Amino acid sequence: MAAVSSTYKDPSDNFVWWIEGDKLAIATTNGDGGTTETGEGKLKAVQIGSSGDVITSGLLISYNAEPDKLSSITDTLDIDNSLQPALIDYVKSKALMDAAASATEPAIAQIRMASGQQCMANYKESVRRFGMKKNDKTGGTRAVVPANLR
Amino acid sequence: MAAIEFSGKEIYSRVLQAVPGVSENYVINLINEALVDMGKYSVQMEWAKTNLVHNQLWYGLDDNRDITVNKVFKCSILNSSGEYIRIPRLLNQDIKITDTE
Repeated sequence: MAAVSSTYKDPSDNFVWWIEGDKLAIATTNGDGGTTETGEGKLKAVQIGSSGDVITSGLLISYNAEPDKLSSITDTLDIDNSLQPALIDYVKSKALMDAAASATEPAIAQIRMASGQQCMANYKESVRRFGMKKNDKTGGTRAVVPANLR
Repeated sequence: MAAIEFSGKEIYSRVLQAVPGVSENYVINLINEALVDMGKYSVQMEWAKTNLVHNQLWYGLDDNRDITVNKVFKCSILNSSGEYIRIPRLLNQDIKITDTE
């Protein structure tokens, strides 16, 4: 395997990407032109030299990720600070619902179930409706005060 | 001012107030369940680099890799000046080359 330098001046002219299943395809119209299917102008795999050649760190992807797993109770959570209250709501909700299911007194079960549903409603509002907005760290105008036209 | 960061311990203590007697392991499982659920939304954006390999069309994104990707929204290729140039996404996937693995 040999590392080679990139010779592409503007990859946006002749590269494309797409997703199929759990695989990312990177294809280009640049090529060796040796056969009909690999001729210039048709999409094919990257041709950068010979077998085993690579452009080191030649591909950069930006993606929405899944937070890292918590393996110990002392670990720090891998989510933005603004979402930590939402996570507490989710955990409390599930714990209360499980506790309601195992409660022997109907009144206690009902209270726990109601509390659990309230926590789940808070979670949904925080993450599903406003998660992106709360997580948006770009600046800009937060409020516009209209001019007094009187 | 340093960022306020919660550990699993703090969440465990909050849950204990609502449901006394639950175990740490149970709460860890619930926290991980919450993290998976949160991962379905655009709450965590990251980026990663990998080698561009000769004659390799497909790059794996499945969950058993170093990174867990839920949705790729941008791809860039290194150019001859050392800059990453964004490349377009092909929306019409009706092309000859497909994944047969």
